[in-house]
Amino acid sequence: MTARLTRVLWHLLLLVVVLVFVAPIVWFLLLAIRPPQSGTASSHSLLFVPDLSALKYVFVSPGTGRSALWASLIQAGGATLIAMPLVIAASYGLTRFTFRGRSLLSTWYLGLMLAPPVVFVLPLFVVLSRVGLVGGNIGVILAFQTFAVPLGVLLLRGFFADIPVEIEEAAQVDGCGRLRCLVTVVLPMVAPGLVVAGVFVFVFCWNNLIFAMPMTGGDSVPLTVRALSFFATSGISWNYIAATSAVSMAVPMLLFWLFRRHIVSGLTFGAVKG
Amino acid sequence: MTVSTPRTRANGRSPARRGFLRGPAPWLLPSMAVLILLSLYPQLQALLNSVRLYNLSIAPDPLRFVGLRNFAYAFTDEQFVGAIGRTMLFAVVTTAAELVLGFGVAVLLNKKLRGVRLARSLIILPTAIAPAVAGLAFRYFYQTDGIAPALLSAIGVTPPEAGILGDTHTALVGIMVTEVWQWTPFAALIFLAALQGVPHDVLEAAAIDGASRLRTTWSVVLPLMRSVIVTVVLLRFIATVNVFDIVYVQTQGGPGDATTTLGLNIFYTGLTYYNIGYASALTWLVTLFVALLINVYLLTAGRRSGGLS
Repeated sequence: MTARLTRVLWHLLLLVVVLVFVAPIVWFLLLAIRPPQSGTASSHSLLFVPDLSALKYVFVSPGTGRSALWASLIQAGGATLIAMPLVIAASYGLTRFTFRGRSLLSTWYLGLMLAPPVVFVLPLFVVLSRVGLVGGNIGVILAFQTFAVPLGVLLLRGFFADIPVEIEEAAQVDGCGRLRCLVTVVLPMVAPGLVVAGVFVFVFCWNNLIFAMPMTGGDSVPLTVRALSFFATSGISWNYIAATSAVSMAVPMLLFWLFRRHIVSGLTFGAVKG
Repeated sequence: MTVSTPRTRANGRSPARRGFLRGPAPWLLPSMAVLILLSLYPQLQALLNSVRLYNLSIAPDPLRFVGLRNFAYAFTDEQFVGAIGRTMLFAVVTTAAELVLGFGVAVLLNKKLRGVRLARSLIILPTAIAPAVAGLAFRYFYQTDGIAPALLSAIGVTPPEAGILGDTHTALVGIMVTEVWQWTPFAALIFLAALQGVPHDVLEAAAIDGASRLRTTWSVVLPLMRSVIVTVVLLRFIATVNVFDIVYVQTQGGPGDATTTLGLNIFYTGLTYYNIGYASALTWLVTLFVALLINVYLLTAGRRSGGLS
């Protein structure tokens, strides 16, 4: 009897823990479809008629959030597309050659991942504003490379290291050049690693605020920064903030759900295998 | 497989070109060039600016060389020193909380319970969303008419009149809760992976020897997880020292400077007050501090399995 009671209690505890971590997200998402509240009388009721007007206002008409959605896609997507070839080449170089300074290079990449972003933002802002790249997509895409490339390398490197060099050597003996060998033999074998590295680089860029805030302006303002624009002196438009945030949240939540087996390795920069 | 070098020659590629890709340089230089240009060069530029009087709100160009005066000033600057204290408090408390709660959640998720697999997948969601968005969500809950004060009142705690984020005593606590909420699942998932890696026969042997469950956890499981625990602590400590987004969206450092952490202090110094010279000196002080942390970590734990690098 007591054994059964403890089992029930464990299940109850599990339910509470899941609620603690999921309910805040649901509660905030609900705000995006709550009818606009009159005055300060906030309703905590779960019973309401869904109202899509906030989502419509932000993304359809006048749709100020639409350009933010595009900006987020262009910046995170563009940064990932630029970073990945560099990441692939560096991962290959770090795992296929032994040379002086190899561990120093790895440590530098790790240091770049762990250093406070504010340390990069400020000097980079000074340099990029001097060449006129602040306030558009290009500046922020370049700024993202400071963490996108090291993150990608730290993640992909492990996948490359798992591929036996003998396979490549065999292909090379058969007359396959290094580059062709990489493209036709190695890359297909590390395809899961490419996806994992790509997804994490994309999500880190998508979720970024500190680089995007000073580096973008006007139409290049992404969702994370746009959400803040609804804190007006006339009052806070929480419905619009939640609507913008809902779209911002949806993409990484979906990606993390799909790649949940790789989260641990991704978030520890490859240090812990999931 | 036969050796067929003549065939590659017949490909028409010059041996020199193939030789070019034989060394590590062409593979590593592109990414290095990008990172040198986008991070090392600006940082060296910052080092140069850190010994200058350089304030964009006074003049568009550096005014003059001031030696180490910017660095010296930092240690007497109450706002900077205050920010260090707050940041350390924030980092120690949140890291400790994430460690303990994360371990508890991991033990729970390691049990054979119905729906535990779904729970494992659901629990990662907070770590997926942008810290800025998590901050906004909690700012909404913390409003005076939000759900958090209502829940506090329900359990008999009087919420502060100015709101949780509006009161100098509770604002930092509110941000800590947001941080712990978002990153406890991260610690939990890593610990869960480590727990699942503990060999079954070791646990059985302990049980046969008559060790209690608590005793087994303390003397057998925890020592086995040492390197993973060190990794989590270091990663979270460094990340919380670096905290920015989650604070910025909730309080902008206020009320007053009650929640101004290092990141915000430097951000404001450089990008709001345009005091580039002084802010550059501050970024270098922080860089050196975090570099020290990373090195301590690499020396103590990095060489063991499961470590970084």
